[in-house]
Amino acid sequence: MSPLRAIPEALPLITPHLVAKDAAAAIDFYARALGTVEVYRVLGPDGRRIMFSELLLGDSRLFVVDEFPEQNAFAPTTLGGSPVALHVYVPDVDAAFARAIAAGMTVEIPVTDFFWGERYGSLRDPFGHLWGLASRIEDLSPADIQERARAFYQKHRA
Amino acid sequence: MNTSEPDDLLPLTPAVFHILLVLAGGESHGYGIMLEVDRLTGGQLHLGPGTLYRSTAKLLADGLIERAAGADPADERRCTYRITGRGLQVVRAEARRLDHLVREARRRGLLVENDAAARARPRRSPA
Repeated sequence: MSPLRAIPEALPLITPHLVAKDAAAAIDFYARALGTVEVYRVLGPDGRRIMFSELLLGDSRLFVVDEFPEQNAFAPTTLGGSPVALHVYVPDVDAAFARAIAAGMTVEIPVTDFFWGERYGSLRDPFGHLWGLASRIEDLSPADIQERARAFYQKHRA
Repeated sequence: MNTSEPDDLLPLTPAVFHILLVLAGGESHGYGIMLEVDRLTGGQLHLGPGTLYRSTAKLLADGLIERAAGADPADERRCTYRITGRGLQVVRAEARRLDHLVREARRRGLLVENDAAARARPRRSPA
């Protein structure tokens, strides 16, 4: 029998681990807003708070848990903001954006064709987490993007 | 969510490919899948309960497998799974993709019987 692998076979290398006030509501919300599918949840010692949960989003996974202040796990709504945005590629960014807004996300940056080769927009969910939704529209080299960035900021400085 | 073409799901992870391979031969419960994957890989790929659970959850979400009639969804370990028409399309597409790769590898002399044979056979660049 093969030895146990340190990296689980069915998990991507990086999995965002999101803390939310009322993780059960967040799990429902992400299903409506993004189409996630719950794989499982595990309750903490109080039998109420969600200690682990794993959601599927395409080939990617999310862990969504409740606040555990005793373990320094705080939600962005408690901390007053989040420094991380989750960037999600979708086949049709306009449709995905409309779905997210209908579910209750608020727009940060409306969907726009951006110079780095993506049609992209960003949103904030009611639990304080930030999302970028994008569909690729051009296949650009880093040099192309650098040049486009220069031109973009020159144009928008005025 | 399940409207994508079979090719959009390729390549499959080894765990998912092996589960579909087993279920293509008939329905099975989780423990049966695990034993059959052990057998057909000679123990090279062992699906522990966590991997099996995650992989079947993903396959169910993608509509590639379904729970067999009468299965109790609450009891995952005893749940019997069966491949769907779409699952069959996807595992066939993956088998064709792998077959093509293996044929290419053989054509390029990468699948010789052993090292001695490899040394005996002069390298030729493809014409």
